[in-house]
Amino acid sequence: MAEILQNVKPTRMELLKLKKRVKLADKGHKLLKEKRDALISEFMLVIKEYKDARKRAEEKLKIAFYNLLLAEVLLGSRDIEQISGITLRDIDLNFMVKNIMGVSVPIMKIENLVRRINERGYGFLSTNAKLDDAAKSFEESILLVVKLAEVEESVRKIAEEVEKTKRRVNALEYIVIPRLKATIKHIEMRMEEIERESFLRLKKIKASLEARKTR
Amino acid sequence: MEIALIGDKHTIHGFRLAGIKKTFLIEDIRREDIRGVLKDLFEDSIALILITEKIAEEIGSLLEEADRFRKGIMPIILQIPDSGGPLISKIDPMRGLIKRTVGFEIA
Repeated sequence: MAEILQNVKPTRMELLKLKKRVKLADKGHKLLKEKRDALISEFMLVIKEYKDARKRAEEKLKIAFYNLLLAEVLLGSRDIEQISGITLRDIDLNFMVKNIMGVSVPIMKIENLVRRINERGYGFLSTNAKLDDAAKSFEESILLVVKLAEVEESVRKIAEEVEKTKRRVNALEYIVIPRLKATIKHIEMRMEEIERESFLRLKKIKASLEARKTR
Repeated sequence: MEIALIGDKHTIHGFRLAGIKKTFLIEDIRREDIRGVLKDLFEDSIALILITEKIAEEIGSLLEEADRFRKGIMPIILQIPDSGGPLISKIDPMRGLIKRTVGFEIA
C-alpha cells in the first residue's frame, strides 16, 4: 500500500478535491504515455537514419583520406601543408531548429560546398590530379559529416526527451496516483468511522434520555 | 555559421583542402589549454565542432565539462574517424543510449 498524503483533513471537501486530482493525474498519465510511445517510434526512425548516415560518412571519409594519402605521397607533406593554407574560405553553414513533438532538433544546410577545380585557389603546375580528388572528396565528406551531425544530435535530443517522459509516466503511475488513491481510501474509511461514532453517540444519548424519562 | 575542427595533422590537412578555416592541430595545443580552446569555440558562433575519435577519447571528460557552456542547441560536437578509420575498440556511445531509451538493443 502506498503511503498517504500528509496534512489532509478527512472531510468531504478534501475527498472531492482528491477525486478531481486523481482524474487529472489519470488523464495526464494517459497523455504522457501516448507521447512516450510516439517519441519512441520517432526515435526508431531517426536511429535508422543515423546508422545510414554514419556509414556513409565513414565510407566517404575513408576514400577522402586515401586520396589525401596519395596526394601526399606524390607532393610531399610540406607542399600539402602549404596548399591547405590557401584553399581556405568562408563556409556558410545554415543552422535552423526544427520542432519534433516539443523537441528542438537542428537542421543544417551548406550551400556551394563542392568547388570547381579552378575555384580552389592553387596552381596546377605544381600540383596534380590526386590533390584535386582529395579536396573534392573532402568537400563531399563535409556534406555527409554535417548530415551525420544533424542526425546524431536529433537522436540525442529525442532520447533525452523519451527518458524525461518515461520518468514522468513512471512517477505518475507508481507514486502520484497510488498515493492519491490511498489517501482517498484513508479519508473514506475515516469518514465511515466518524459516521459510526456519531451513530453510536446518538444511540447512547437516546438511551440515556429514555432512562431519564422512565425515572 | 562556421565549422571548427580539432584533429591531427592528416585530418586537418584534408579538411583545410575542403576549405574549413578554423582548425586546431592537437599537437599545437598544450593539454592545459584545451579547456580554453573549447570554451572559446563554445562562445564563438560556431555551429559544428568536429573532433577526431582518438582525441575525443583522450579529452572525454573535458568535452563533457565544456558541454555546460552550451547555450541552446549550438554548437554540436561530432566525433569523426581520423585517417586510421573508425575506432573499432570503441563502444558506440549510441548503443547505450538506444538501450536506455527503448529498453532493448536494436541490431
